[in-house]
Parts: sequence; C-alpha cells; structure tokens
Amino acid sequence: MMHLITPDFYGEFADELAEMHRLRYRVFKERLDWDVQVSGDMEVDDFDALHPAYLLQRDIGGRIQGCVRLLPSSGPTMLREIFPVLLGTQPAPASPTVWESSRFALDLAPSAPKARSGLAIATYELFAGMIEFGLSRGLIDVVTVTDVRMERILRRAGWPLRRIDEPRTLGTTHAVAGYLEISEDSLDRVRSIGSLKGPVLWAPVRLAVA
Amino acid sequence: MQPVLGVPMHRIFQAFIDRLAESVDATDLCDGMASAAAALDLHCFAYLALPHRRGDKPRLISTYPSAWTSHYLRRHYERLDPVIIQALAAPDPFEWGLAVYPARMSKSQRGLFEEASSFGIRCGFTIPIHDSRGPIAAVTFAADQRRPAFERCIKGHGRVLQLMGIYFHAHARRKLVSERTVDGVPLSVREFECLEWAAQGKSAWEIGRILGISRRTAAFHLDNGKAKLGVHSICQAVARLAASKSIMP
Repeated sequence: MMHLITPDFYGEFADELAEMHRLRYRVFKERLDWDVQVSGDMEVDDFDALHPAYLLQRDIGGRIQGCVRLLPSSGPTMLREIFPVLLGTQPAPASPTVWESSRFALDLAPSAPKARSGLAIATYELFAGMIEFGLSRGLIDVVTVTDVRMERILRRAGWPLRRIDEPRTLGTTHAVAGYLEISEDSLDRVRSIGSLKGPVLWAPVRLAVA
Repeated sequence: MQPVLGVPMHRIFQAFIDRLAESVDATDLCDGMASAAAALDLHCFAYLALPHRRGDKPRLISTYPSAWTSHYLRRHYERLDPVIIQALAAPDPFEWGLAVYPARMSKSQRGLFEEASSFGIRCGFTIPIHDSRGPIAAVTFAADQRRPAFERCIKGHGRVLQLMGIYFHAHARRKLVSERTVDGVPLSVREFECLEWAAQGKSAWEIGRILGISRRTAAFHLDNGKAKLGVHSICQAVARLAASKSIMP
C-alpha cells in the first residue's frame, strides 16, 4: 500500500515522516555510505525544505519500507542544482507537467514477497504509486537522477528510463539522469509485470480542521 | 500523540511547517521556531550552524536571553560547554542539564550550568546535525522547568522535536546560505571553491588535496561549475569568475 503525504498533511503524519527519515538513514547512510546530512538515526537534505510530496510504501504490518520524494521541475531540482553535469547539452526540464523524483529508497525484509518476475512486489508498488500520482497531477514525465543498477531494475519492471545523457561516475555510483513516462500504458505494464491487482496509492481527502 | 497545553502536537507541527514555508529570512525562521517551542512550553531555542570556511563566523538564530549569549561569548564558554562538546562529537540527540550528568562535569562546567540557570536555562534537548566530514549544526531547545515536566515533553515528543530540528536546519541552509554567484549564476560553495583554486592554476588532483576531497569529486565540481556557467573549458570558467569579481563592489 502506498501513502501520499503532501505539505498540508505533514502535521497529521509527522510520525510517518520521522519514520521515512529513519528509513532514508538506513539506506543512504548505513547501506550506501553516501555523504548525507544526518541527525541521530535520521537523514535530511536541503531539498526537504522545498515542501515536497512524499510517497511512502508500507508492508502488510504497516511498517514503512519504501519512500520517494517528488518536487515540481518548475522549482529547484537536484538535477539542475547538484547534477547538471548529467545533462550533457540538454536543458534541465522546467515544466508543470514534469516532476523530479529523488531519495528513492527501499529497505525490505528478506522475507518480503516477490512477484513472479523476481523483483519484490514493494518495488512495483512504489513505481505504480509514482505513476498514479503523476496521472492524478496531469504529469507527462518524471525526471530523475539514478544509477545504472536502478536503471536495470526499472527496465525489468516495465518502466524504462529514457536517458538524457551518458552515465558518469560520481563517487561510488555510476549515475545517470533520465525521464520516466507517466501514462496509462506505463501503469498497465508495471501492474501486469508486478501482478498488482488495482490502485496502490492512498491519500487523505479531508484536511484537519484548524 | 498526547496534547500539551490542549494543542495537539500535529497542529503545532503543521503550523511550524507552514511558517517555515513562508519564511524568507532569519527573523521569520526564528519566529516560526519560537512559536512552536512556546506551544510546547519550551522556554527558548538556539540554532547554531558552523561556518563553511574556517575563519567565517558561525550562524546563530536564537531566542536565548541576549544577556546570557553576550556573557557566554565574552567568556568563550563554547570551549568549555559540555553541550557543545557532545554536539560536535556525535550526531545523536541528547538531553542535558545539571541533573543529567553531574558526575562527569568539571567544577567550571558545573559553574557554567549554574550561571545558565540564573538566566532561565536549566535543562535542554540538543539535536546535532553532521555530514560525513563532521558536525555542521545543532538545534537546542532549553527549558527553565524542573526536570519532570521537561522529561514528559521530551519523552512524548522527542521524535517530532528531532524532525522540527532537521527541517529548521534544512530551511536555514536553503534560505540563508549565501551562494557564490558568478555573473548572476549561483554556484554551490564547493563549485566556487574549486573554481577559485583552478584560477590559481591548480589541477583537479591538487584541488582535491587542498580541500580534502578526491580528484574525481573535484573534477565533478569543476564540471558542474562549467555546465552552470555554460562554458566548455576551465579557462573560460576562470575568465567568467575574474570578470564577475572585478564588477563586485
């Protein structure tokens, strides 16, 4: 199950946000040893100050095991500010129909259920959740900086990355920037390959009364 | 989450987030944090960010009584303060106060705490922020209450206080860090530093040695700088840098 948290609901879901930052610490600091800012067992960066939308993936027991951060490309993005070197000669996208995803993380128990294709079902849920979010906002693409390993996973899952330029080695990662198509076709493919039965994304509709 | 003073925590947190979103300068950020702290019955707060470059001043955003802050700085208590020492040493949040670790404090450190008490600062909760190079900032909430009430607050809201701390820090960095602009193009601090060294004829390897980063990372920053300036060679980037410097007052 995927849970959308937009800025209007940060208060309602403060505990979930704290869990998300702890998940990000486990993945980006402990597992990948990236140069990130940490406090205790939480990871944070400057882009969290831009009031992104967050998607959280929960397991059957409700434990948060995956997350991704989404920001409109019409505002500051990691691609434009941190990784312009991955653009080659292309301009960074700046459009209301393109959002940037970042801090994509999955921390799954070894027993996490897998789809027939071999990837964990949680991975497909996270991808499907991103596409459902994109469709709900009228997006045509999600842009992202990722690595060639994740690029292979995206291709296996039926959601291939359209590269902007060649990959470059940054630190310990082979990084590449590209577009992920937001469309009903993409959603159908990911659902089919991931054996997902229906919509995965859930969001509250009622704002807490002030 | 249990309500404190009748206002549920989630509403305090939401109000805090909304104010941060609208803040444009240090005063706005300060007011946003001060309101949230007051709603939680926390007497005052301090945000301290270490300078990017040695010799630059640290940034302090705080509602600590200014009489205490001037006294503290005049006496260079930052060299003695066990809270600072611990915040620099490790990124884990911690509580402090005269009752917290009396046995491990020196007489002068105990004296510092007693002086602080007279200014209404009896105990606190500090949230350090580190990156892979070391400490970069710390957020502290201080209270003039006796311990039990404060303890209840930290136990009940510690995680959300930590979240408030890291979000405050992210906003301060985003909104207050002066970028280095070249011809109106904002470069990151690292990109600018690498370019300045390149202007002195240093190679990426040498720049890496100077800044304590790998050659590859230095090259990466130089490439990013070139990309942002829309030039193809270091020569051109350096020329742009020199030109913009000669225009600046």
